[in-house]
Amino acid sequence: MLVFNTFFRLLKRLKGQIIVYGVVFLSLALAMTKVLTTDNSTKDFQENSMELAVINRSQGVFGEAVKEYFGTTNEIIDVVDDESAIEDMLYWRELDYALIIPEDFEDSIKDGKITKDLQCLEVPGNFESSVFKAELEMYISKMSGLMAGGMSIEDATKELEKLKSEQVTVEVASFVNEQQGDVISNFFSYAPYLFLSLGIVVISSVLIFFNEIEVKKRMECSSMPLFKRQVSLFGAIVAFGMLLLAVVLVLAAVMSKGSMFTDVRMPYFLLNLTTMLLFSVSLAFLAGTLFDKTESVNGFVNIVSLALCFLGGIFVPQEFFSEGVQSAARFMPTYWYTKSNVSISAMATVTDAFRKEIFMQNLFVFSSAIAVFAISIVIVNLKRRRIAA
Amino acid sequence: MIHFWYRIKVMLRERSSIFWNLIFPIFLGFLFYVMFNNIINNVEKFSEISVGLVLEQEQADFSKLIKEVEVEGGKKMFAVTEYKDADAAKKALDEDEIYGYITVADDFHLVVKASNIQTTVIKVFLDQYIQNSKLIENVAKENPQQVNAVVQGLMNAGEIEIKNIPLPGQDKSPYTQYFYALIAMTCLIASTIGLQNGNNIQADLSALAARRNVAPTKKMKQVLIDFLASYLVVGIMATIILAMVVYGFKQDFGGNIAPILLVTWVGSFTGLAGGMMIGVCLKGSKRMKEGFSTAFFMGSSFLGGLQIVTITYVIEKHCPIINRINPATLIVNACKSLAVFGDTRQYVINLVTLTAIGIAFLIISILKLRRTKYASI
Repeated sequence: MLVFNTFFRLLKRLKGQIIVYGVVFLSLALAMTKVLTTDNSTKDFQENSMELAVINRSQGVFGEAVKEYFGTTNEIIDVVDDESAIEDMLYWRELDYALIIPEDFEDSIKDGKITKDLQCLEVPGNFESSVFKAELEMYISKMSGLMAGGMSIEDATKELEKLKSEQVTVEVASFVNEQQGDVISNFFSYAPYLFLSLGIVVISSVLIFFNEIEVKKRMECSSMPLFKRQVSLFGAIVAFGMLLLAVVLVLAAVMSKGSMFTDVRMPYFLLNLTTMLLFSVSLAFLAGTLFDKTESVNGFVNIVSLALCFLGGIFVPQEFFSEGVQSAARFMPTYWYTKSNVSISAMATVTDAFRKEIFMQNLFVFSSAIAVFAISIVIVNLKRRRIAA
Repeated sequence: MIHFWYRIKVMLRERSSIFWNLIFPIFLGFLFYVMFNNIINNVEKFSEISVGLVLEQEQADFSKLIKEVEVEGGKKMFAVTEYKDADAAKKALDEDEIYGYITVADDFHLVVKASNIQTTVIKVFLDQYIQNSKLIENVAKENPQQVNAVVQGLMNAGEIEIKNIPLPGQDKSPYTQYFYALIAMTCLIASTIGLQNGNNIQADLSALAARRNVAPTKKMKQVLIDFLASYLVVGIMATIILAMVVYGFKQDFGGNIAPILLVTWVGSFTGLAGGMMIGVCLKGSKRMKEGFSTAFFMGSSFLGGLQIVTITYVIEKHCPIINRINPATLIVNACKSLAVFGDTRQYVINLVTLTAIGIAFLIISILKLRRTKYASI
């Protein structure tokens, strides 16, 4: 127990640093969870919504009709008619799309035919804008059709408002778990970043003390066998890992307002978190073995945590990966952790196929942890021989 | 001058520090390049949305239309699979083979798994089909002689354009923001070197610092030499990383390399000054100060959008002051204002604010160091 106790005494000595890192990475994880969790229940379908502006230079009926028609599913923002002011709003994303109706737009309508083009300002690369533009074109197409049939622009806009109620009924499938994408799922999706960053920094900071040459030599001269020392050390590392897991679970319980305790998905989330934690702890052990300076550890932590999290689909959804990136990402334990997390989040009923999927994915993560730990042991033995020589 | 070159030599010998400050951004840039290089192609693939069709009632027109409708470039909008019944379609939906399935009977019914852009596109398409059919039906009931004119009008409306007023900037990719955030992080990672400078001049922290304090060279001179020497090294490293991003990872930032290079040097100045302020002003062990330095550059980079690109927009809604003073956000917005919006006014505002923050950090550090006295025991 001496090595085990020493580990925690050293942790106590490093409490200032642990508190700082803990606050930073926990805050990042909580902030990321908050940003991505919406209040929308998945039981009701929600169309994509944007912030729109309509600049009605013609001061006619068409502009007001567009605002009313699209205002039910989007937010209409009042803006001044100034291109640089609008660009400022697009820059700060206070606005997604600005439609400009030219001055003589309604005057240009001849025999029901719209001859003047409209203009728009939008944020480049925004896919939702493309969908809105298509909806707008179809609205103009229907209006044009009605006016060609002899209706005035006012009557056409009224008719289109009535037609708006003719919509397809949309249902979210009954097998979809309404808790999918809830706060717990999102928080647990960022847990690997927390485990990797905080776990590696803290554990390897302590191991650097143990690996100081003078300390190592004294330990080699001691009566405690190497196996017992390693087991005690590993036990201490796993105990710290469990403390970290407990902190994550407490935060999850607070964020979910206690609903986590009655959630049928919890055992699977717990399994997923535990295997990921074991992998993080094994990486921490590797870092503590490889490096003897905290600057090196900081560099290692930043590279490994960000790389694993980006390739694992934690910051960028996996569906955006190209085939090449998907192939590479499959070797990352974080990739399988994220896949499991998504499956568990969407789970409505437990089936054998589900259990098998979760088990296999967690087995991969666990195997990765064992592999990394084995590499660390090999490095430890090589270093011992070098010192002995 | 000799002190200046000695300081540079000392810095270059701290290989681990230089290595991680150089390798980490290059590695992350490579990761972004690999991940986002093909993402535009992947987004184009999304235009072919997988949808299921369950025909409880024969509707040949609708079936043909949904299978043949195209988007720009001649690509099909939907990849349609017909299922014999709703159970088969439900199974396909559960297994993520389709985004949703449409049951065609007396009316249309759409079943989806989630609310996202693909299911929105399917819904919009169905709504438009239903509304167009109803429109023609109403006209046929009330004014049957106008039906041809209405149908002709519907077809001619395709000639109207909604012209996009292009923004002055050249960079239209939404994923370049990750590279702006990378540049911001590269600049702020200099805080670790600034921290070393702050630690190396405080006599109570190390024997080297004690010797430097009793040396004949004035303390302020030493501080400024340390700062300038570090600034030169950090600036060169940031330039190397920018060159890697531009020429290696093919991000030309809308052709604004020179102004972006200026932002990089100013950002490095702020990062360095921030690290020095942490080293000088905070009381605590070296490890704790390293923790604060990490908190500074990681926290700032996160708020600038390194991990989640949309965080700046969320912050703008709830607490815009953070976007105005966070160094990483200022760097990202300076790059974005030129590359995307071609707005030199915003670029200058961001640059001036960043410089002011860096100068403020430096002044605080100098004032604290000037006040520090050591007892003679």
